[in-house]
Amino acid sequence: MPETGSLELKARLDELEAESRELRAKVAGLERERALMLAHQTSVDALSTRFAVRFSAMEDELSMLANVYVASYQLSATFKLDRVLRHVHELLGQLIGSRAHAIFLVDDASRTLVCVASEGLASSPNATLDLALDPPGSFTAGGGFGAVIAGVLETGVSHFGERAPVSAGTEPTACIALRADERMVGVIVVHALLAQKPGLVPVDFELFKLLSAHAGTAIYGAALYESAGGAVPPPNALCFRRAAAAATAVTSATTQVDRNDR
Amino acid sequence: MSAEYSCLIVEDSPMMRQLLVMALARVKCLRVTEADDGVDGLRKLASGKFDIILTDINMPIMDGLKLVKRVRSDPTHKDVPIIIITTEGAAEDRQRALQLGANAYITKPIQAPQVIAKVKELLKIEG
Repeated sequence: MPETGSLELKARLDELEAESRELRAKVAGLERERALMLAHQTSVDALSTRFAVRFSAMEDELSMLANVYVASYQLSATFKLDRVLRHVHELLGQLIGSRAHAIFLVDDASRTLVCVASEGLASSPNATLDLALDPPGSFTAGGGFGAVIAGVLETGVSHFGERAPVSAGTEPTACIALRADERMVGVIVVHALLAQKPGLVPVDFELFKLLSAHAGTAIYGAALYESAGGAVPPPNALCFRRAAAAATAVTSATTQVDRNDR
Repeated sequence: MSAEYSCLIVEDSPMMRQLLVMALARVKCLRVTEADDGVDGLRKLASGKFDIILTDINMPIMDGLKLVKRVRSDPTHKDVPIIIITTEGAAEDRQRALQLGANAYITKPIQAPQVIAKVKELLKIEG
């Protein structure tokens, strides 16, 4: 009967081998599943990183929009000159992080640049630069910034330099062209940033653009309002002026058509 | 959802106040009250319950450090977390503010997410 025992053993061995094959196949299947899950995990991680980066970018964008919104809201919220200047100072100091800056306006009659306000600087307001006579570097309020300022006034393009300490006086951190109705009306010179601010960031350039386009208009608008004793024309006067301007435009267009017909 | 926490912002700059209000509007359960300076801040503190105070340092009438001192010596509000938000970036200014009892010190120009995170951390708001 030893053959029966041997056959039984062989059958058992076959059975175990079949079971082992089945288990190996199962292990291989699980390994494949594991590899798939790891690949999926990697892609989810990559997606999560992409979302985190996107979220951070959106946070930055939102923060930038909030800064620009608040700056623009405050800048055009008043007719009072001291408040407009205060808002410009706050925008520069609190939102951009300027430690020292000055606001200069062009005096067309005397061809001088007059400092109307400054912060963090030893020089007093009313410092002037004669645009026709003063050589670059003689600017009392700006050290050797004359050439930069003259360039900005001439081109109407704001200038951004290296971060410079207030005493260096070689190049301003920023010199912003102030425009009103396509005309250069002055400049804002940022001499130095706060110690904790390592340099200008994208939102600062947006705020400088805003200042360039609106600060001059806001300052002159407030100055005109104050020089008029706070009087504003009645609404119907505004309507009359608009109607008069429209009539002038029509007349001029008609004249042009008549000329062309002839 | 009604506000669960109330926050007092003490800041003399209208621009910075508006920016902080806008930033904190993103914390859903927070009601914000504004004050112009330290004295106005103390007045508003006396007339309401606040869970957190954000204050500037350089302000007219009463500065932020005096406000911190007064709040910490007042039994009603001595435990209210205080965040200093200032242009003063020197280490000694930070140390002085923290010694007086401020819980956090943030320098301007601010990053809204940083302010929001600090407020949430001090109020133990998750998410």
